[in-house]
Amino acid sequence: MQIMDLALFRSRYPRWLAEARPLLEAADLKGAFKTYPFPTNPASPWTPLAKPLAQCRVAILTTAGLYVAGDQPPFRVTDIEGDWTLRELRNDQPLEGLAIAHDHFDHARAEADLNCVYPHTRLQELAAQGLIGGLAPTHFSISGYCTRADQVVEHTLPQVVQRLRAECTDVLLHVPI
Amino acid sequence: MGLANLPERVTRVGYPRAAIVKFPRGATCGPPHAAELQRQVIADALRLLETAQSPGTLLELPHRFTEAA
Repeated sequence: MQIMDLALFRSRYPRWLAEARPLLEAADLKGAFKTYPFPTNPASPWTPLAKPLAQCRVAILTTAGLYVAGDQPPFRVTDIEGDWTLRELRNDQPLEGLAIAHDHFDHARAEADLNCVYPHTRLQELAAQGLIGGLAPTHFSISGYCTRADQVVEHTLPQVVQRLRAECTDVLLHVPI
Repeated sequence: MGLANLPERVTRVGYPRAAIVKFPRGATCGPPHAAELQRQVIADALRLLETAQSPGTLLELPHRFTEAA
């Protein structure tokens, strides 16, 4: 299934970037993104749930820019095009060891309780209650600030899909900030 | 599936299934340390996996964002 029209996005992106660059450099995101060529997916893929939710293994994909402090590089926050690289977060990674590299949202609530953007503890509780079967061995973090949607589709998300398949994960819960 | 707070973005993404909350940016799952509310939100979102019957199903969750004083 065609998820996103990459050619259309790429035909529009360079002109947008040229026009938006001064605004981005001045941190005027509202002005810059007025003309951004937002990709719109024409159709939704559909995979029926193959088993009861209570038997499903769930992974999280957060866009809060989380990374393992001291072990993984932070996302590039100064690049006007953002960062489309991926950080894998192990399921046994304590939340206290995670840091935020994302300059475009107020961190106060997430710093007080990371479950606001990365509901790992809540999923553990729901697994203990029997609503879901369990958590996947690997979760995923990307930076929600990234203007290169084509790079996300071509390079970042295939890594996520590969890991989900390798670990027989049934559900990906995407939590944008 | 998605759990998101910006309906116009949700429409663009074209999730197979998504739950939409009226929560502020930076707290998509609920207020800090509101474990019960966060749990309800996540659980209600995940139940969509069993109830949604067609691609593009969106569910607006009714939960209110109430922060502890």
